Amino acid sequence: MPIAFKQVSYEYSPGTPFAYGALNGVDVEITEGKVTAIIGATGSGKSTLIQHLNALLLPSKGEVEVLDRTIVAGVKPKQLKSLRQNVGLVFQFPEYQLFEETILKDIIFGPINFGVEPQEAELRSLHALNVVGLDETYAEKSPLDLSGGQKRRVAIAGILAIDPYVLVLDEPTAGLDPQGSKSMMNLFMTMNRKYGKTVLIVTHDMEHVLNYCDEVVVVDQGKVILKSDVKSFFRDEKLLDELNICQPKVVDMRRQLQKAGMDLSDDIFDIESLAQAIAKEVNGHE
Amino acid sequence: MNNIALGRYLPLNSMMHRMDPRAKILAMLGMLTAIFIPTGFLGYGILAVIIISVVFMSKLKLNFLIRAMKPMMFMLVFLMIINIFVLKTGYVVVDIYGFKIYSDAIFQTLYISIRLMLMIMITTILTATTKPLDLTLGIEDLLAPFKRFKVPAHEIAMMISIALRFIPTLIEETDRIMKAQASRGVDLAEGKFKEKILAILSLIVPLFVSSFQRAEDLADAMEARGYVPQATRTRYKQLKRTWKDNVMLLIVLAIILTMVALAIGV
Amino acid sequence: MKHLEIKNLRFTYDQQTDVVKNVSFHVEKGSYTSIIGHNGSGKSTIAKLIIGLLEKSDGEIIIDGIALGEDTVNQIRGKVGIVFQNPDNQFIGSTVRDDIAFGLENHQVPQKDMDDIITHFAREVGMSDYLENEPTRLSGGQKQRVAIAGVLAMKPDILILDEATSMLDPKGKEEVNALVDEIHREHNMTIISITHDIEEVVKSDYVFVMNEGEFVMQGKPQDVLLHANTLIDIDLDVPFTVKMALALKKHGINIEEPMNMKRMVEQLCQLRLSK
Repeated sequence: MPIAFKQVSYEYSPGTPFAYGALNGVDVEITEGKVTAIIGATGSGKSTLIQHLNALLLPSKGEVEVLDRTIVAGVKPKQLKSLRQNVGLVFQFPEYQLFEETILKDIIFGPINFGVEPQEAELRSLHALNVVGLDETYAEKSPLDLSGGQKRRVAIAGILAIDPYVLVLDEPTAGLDPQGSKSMMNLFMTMNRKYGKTVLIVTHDMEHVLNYCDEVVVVDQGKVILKSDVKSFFRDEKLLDELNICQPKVVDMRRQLQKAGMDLSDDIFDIESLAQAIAKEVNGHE
Repeated sequence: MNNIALGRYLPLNSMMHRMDPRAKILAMLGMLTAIFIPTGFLGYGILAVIIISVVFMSKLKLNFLIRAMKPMMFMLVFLMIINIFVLKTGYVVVDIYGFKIYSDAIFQTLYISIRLMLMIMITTILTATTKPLDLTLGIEDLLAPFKRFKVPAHEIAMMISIALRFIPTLIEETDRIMKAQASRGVDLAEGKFKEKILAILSLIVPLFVSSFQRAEDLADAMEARGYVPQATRTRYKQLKRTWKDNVMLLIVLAIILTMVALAIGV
Repeated sequence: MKHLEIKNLRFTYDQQTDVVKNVSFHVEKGSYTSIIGHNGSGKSTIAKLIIGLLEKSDGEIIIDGIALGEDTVNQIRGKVGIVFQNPDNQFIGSTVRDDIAFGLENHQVPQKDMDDIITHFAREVGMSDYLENEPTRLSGGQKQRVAIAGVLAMKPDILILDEATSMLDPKGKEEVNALVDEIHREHNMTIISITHDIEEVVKSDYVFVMNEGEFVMQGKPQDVLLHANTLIDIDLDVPFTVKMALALKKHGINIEEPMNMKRMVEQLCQLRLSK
């Protein structure tokens, strides 16, 4: 089932002095079953783009295909709930959306809203709590007693418990410390690899794009200017320079060594392989 | 959320924009007084003409003012309905199968509507032509003489200016939380009463939590930069009054007197 | 010269939880010091204690020979400027100009001098063209630069960055880091950077590693950052170059300066040619 944007434009506050075109003819298809990174400078339109996926924003022009639904500009879509149930969207700093007295109550809020039976909803919520790395002893605690990183996990569990088909995350690691970010990114990998979810992640961190994502979509000034698989993206030095994207450190180092005359494969994307290849070069062929 | 017109400053360049905020606040209060003098439709006609000319002098577009009034429309319709049911004096205007609508109900509603619209226009002119900070400084200066009666003029001004500074931020935040909860299946339009309460809570609680967080951060930042509420501070922005401001205030005074004259039927 | 000295500092929350446990350290004039630790390790609490936003439970904080106390707190706040994490929650004025003026008003700078000071420091942080802008029309990086200008305008001797770049995008981070480096260099400003960005630590003169409210390691970055396992154990990261050096070591290649990618590349190329 496709997730595709066809000539989608979106304008904020149309017809006012504050009108502002955030998307200008976006054309892109997201590959099902993959982890896709959406990158681009602040203000390029990434957040606007992903809010079209569960019809929080409706296109001013063009159409958005999401799973079995097509949202066409100018036509008010019906049954938004079923769409939102299928596409789980996690906003930036989601810890600010918690409101219930207990963690379990907060996680269960989504599934109940979407009409899941209470018993089933509770099972799902406890499972989601586990998946995000918190055990059942947390269920009855107040969300206010948690640390920032834990709150964020609970908020994400609240979306996972809805069991959406597609998971969309807006800068999920912003403000987290290194270990926090790492386990967060691993969580999304698990959602993809183990539970088969299609995952879209808006991020600024190229290390995350390289290490955790399969495909990359580049947004620039309200347009999707590129969609590529991650490895060929980071192989294309000229393109990266043109887009002014800072390369992952391992790629940067390999490039510097290549420029200095070392014979290294363009397919090296991790520290271990790079170390091995360097050793081969430095120590001579063993 | 971004197209709220009520209370918004429009960075244009007009004579009204350049007027002293203190004079503008006093003029607004004067005009509000004038509106409250019961003069009948003639007086309101005069006031409407004057106010609309000031709107043009301020380079404001009429549709901006109309948008500023939109939130009031619901209230006016509500008022109309109540008046139709309650006011049974005057002559019968319409008779629908025995249900009579009386002239006073119509006039009364019209009367209040015009007053309300003029009041909104006046305040909108003030807020649209005066930077929020200048407005606060104006309020602070006007309240200064009351300091001897323990009116904390400076603190009030600081509070208002911070509130104004954070309105756009909070609007953004509200928008984001609403969308986040919509993604969790919150539907404010449908659902049973109990579900609606929960939906509203899901918006209010996070908004409170984050506002408190912001307030705490802001207090820290202010304190770290040497702010002590009761201490003497110097002031960067100085307000300047010119002869034009005095002329404006004289005109407003003249308007009030005219309205009084109309009201007592001289 | 000891610019800032902290002796046996302790901070207890609710009279039971020790957030900062018996921390002592000092900072030299003109140095660049980093304090790293994961979220919740107590590092930001130290910053708030230094400028008297939180009241210490025990210990001493001495800046330029002045001990922090109730009657000296305003004097200390004139000497120490701080930039906080969230760019939105520390922008007080309604425009860049007014925001820089805020601190000047507090310190009773005469009104006639303010324009010059504002213009000067706005230029210093590269925000001259934005003086009339409202905060909603600025990027996170720009807001933090304004915050720095506001702090500099009060002519402090010490600049504390309390995770000042952690909410910024890469471009904003770069802008702010470059600006801080410049201020450090050109004004010989003492910098204390509280961060969890390990790559930021590499350039500092001295680094303190914090965990559970105490310092678990301290020293020059080239010494501290090599303890990869300890850093990972307390939920921190290791700089890329150190990871690379460790990986190379397994293949029998010893890197002399594992803090600098350029030097590493040079060394590897020399090794290759010498074989």
